[in-house]
Amino acid sequence: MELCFEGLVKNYGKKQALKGIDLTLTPGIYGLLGPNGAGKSTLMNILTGNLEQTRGQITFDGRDIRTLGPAFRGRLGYCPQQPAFYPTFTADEFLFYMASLHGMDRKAAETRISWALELLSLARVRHEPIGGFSGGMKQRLLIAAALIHDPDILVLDEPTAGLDPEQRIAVRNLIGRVALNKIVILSTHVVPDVEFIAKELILLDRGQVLCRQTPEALLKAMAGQVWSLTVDEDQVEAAQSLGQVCGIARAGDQVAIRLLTPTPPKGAVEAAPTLDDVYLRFFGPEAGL
Amino acid sequence: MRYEWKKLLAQVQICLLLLGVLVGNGIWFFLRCSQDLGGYTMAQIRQVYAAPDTLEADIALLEDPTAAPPLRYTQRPWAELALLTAARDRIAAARDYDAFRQGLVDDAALKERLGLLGPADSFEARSLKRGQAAYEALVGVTPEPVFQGGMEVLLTDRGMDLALGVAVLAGALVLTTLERRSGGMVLSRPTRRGRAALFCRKWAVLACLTGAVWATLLLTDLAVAAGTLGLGAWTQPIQGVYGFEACPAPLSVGGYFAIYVLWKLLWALSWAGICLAAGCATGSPILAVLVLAAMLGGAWCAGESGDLWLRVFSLTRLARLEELAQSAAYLNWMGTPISRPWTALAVLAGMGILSTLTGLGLFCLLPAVPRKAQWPLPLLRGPRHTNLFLWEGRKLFRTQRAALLLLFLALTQVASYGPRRAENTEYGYFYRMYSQILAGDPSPEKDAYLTAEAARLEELTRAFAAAPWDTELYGQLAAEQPFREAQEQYRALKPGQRYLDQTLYRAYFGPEGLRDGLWDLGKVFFVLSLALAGLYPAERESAMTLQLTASGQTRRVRRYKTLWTGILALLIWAVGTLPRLLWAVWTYGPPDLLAQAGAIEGFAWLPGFVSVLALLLSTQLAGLTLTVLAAWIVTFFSRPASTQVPALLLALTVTELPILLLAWWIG
Repeated sequence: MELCFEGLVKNYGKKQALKGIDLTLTPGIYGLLGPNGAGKSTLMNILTGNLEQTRGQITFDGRDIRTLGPAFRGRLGYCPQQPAFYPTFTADEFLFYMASLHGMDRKAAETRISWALELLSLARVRHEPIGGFSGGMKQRLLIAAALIHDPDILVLDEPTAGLDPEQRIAVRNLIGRVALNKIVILSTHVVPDVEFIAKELILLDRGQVLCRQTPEALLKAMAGQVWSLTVDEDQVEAAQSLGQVCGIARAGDQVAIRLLTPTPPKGAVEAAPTLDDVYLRFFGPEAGL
Repeated sequence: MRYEWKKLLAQVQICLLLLGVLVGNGIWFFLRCSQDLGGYTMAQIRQVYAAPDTLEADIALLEDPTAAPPLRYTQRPWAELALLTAARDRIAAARDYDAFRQGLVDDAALKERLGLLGPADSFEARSLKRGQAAYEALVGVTPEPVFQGGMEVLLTDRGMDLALGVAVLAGALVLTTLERRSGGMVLSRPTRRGRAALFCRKWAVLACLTGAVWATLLLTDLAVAAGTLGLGAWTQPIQGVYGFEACPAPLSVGGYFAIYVLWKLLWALSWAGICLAAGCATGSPILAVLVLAAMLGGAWCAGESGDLWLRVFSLTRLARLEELAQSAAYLNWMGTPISRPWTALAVLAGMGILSTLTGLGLFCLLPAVPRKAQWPLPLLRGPRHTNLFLWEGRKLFRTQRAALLLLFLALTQVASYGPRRAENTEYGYFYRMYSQILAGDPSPEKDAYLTAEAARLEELTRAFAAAPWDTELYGQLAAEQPFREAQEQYRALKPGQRYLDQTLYRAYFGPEGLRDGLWDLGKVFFVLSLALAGLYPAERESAMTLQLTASGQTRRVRRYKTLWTGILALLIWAVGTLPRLLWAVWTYGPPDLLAQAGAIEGFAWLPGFVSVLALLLSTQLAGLTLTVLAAWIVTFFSRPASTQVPALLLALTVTELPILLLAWWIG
């Protein structure tokens, strides 16, 4: 099973949102990382058919997905970033509706819906209208809707948005479990969401793929770049100019500053790099704003 | 306020609707100014005013069958006569005003003297005295016979009320329901100026919009009136405008016009307050329009009643300032006659203030986050299947509230036709009696009966002529005219035709029946618009288009929506139009389905092979076709719309306008 993006370009007037994306994806979890405006949602919208590309194509097992049509859509599961459901439907009704969109038969739908609701801790509220759900419940429902028809390709746009830490871990683990033999594209700003489960991280910025590596390789490449420096409070401002600040934390009466710089600052100790450091190195501090 | 204006004017479709309303009003008013009044137009009356000297002589010549008819203004003698008579009536009304006024005074004095209205301290006597005093105070008012046709049409025009109502409704729905549905209220509610201050800004914007639209409508109509009929003399007394002779107030045309302008503005502002309250209360444009429609229906019923108090509380009736000005009628307040215009003013202002305060309260107190709905009853739980077609039906009937709207329509039709009874007149009774005897194919026995009955009635006529005080004979002779009608109808039957009792067909196909049928169609189009306007915007508003596109089922969903649209159109048509037929059949008996339809009054032109059944089926099919066409129009507006409000208002305007125009044309 192979999903290929070949020379994908998307223009909005004069603005080029995607500048020629070339990717080949095989079964596994891919973390799509990038700042706002990088083109992540554009890429996902083109894959799900919600947008038309300007140039290029996406193929699945060698065939253009536009030609495949329903045959491709039936194997695609999509969890959008924004809430997309009917507020007056109950969770149960909504999932049955989604099952009908995917052409599932009733028996199979009943089984899968019950499974998905249990998995995402929504079984108790299955007969309640979605309009009354909390943000986290709505998000979990969207994930359930993406899973019920057992798709081969899972597109998850910020699936952990609105979830508490415990639910975040649960969803992360769930994705890790169900991703067997599937191509999972997970777009997120929360690096820990993909840190432990992603096969590869695809770093996207300004419509271009900056880098595509395993998390281990990315971290290895950061060796000698991340330093920890402990200073007095009145020296914090001066210390911040020594490199890109990755983090600031209290250490007793002093302040521990984590810096990203190839040149070790005086008195600094090398720190183990994390994927947050990788993110900041590629996208800079403005990426968070 | 700038941001509230931006919210309103950013809706391109709403702006186009407002523009359409303004242009449409101008066209409508032009049509009114050039309307055929019975073979002649108001402009022709104006021409007659320019040459009044030959008026009486021309009328005399037209009424003389031996004389050559002078055709100065029209091409047909009957139209010429109607025109000159209408002009003469208007000229005489102004010229003879003092005699008319004195006649009202003398009539009141006579009734008082004769004690026809009870003791002197009774309400009737006191109101009569007040009216008499009002007319006595108009001594010296001398309107001149100046053509005031432009003002006559302007001051009685209903088109402006409708245009103003639609514009205000559009603004209110955008400012209230759109914000709630987009979740904007969740952001604004916790802020310092996010409650009463925000509502006041919305109200101010709506008031400005109301004023601007009203001014534009009025200026447009004034320009059209000036261009077609002229604006007359504004310094003349209002009593010189045809229809206002009995106005008890000493006002000039200009003075009345000023009151008219302010009155309409107050009426529109009251309507604005009511629309804002409805929008705040429901949060949904569909529900808001439904609530307002029910309210207007109630107001219309109150306005049509004979009770003056009910009429003064009817918002639809309050739009007609001329009704308050055209007579000296008083309201009975615990036996005391009180002024109807002043009371109406107080009621109108009170409505506006109360509705605005209600809207303010609802806006500030109702939660910004919708209440969590509980669905506890297992029996009412949603279906568990994967049939996409049925799911689309569920979305239409439950989420889009089509089922509720169908119920609303059904109840409306039950209320419209349930209490109706057959017209029980003496004439009708005798006619039906004769029709029962003559019904079916002609026969020698029926011919003999007609001959015998004619002879009997002739005998009665001779007897009555000899004894005109005989009330029994008089009562029996009431059968004569109905008999003549039945006899002529029988004798006019063509070969193959059967005699049909026309009562049912008159009730169904006659002028009253056609008008009822037209209003039924209006209700059908109204419910269709409410049910279908949100069909496609709902997918966008809920962001479900993302899921639908990703699933690749967009075309299939669209196909199913189209199918359900057709099914809904059929259901709405049936609920909306069949009650009238059922009522007619229930009241007057079943039709003779196999008889030739040419035997029905007004359908003599039909060929012989067309049966009554075919005629009825054709009319039903025509109604259904129009309903399906209306459904197509509504979905045409719904498909590209991102929100419900513009789709709903455009659909309502386009589908209801032809109904209103036809209703006006039928008269």
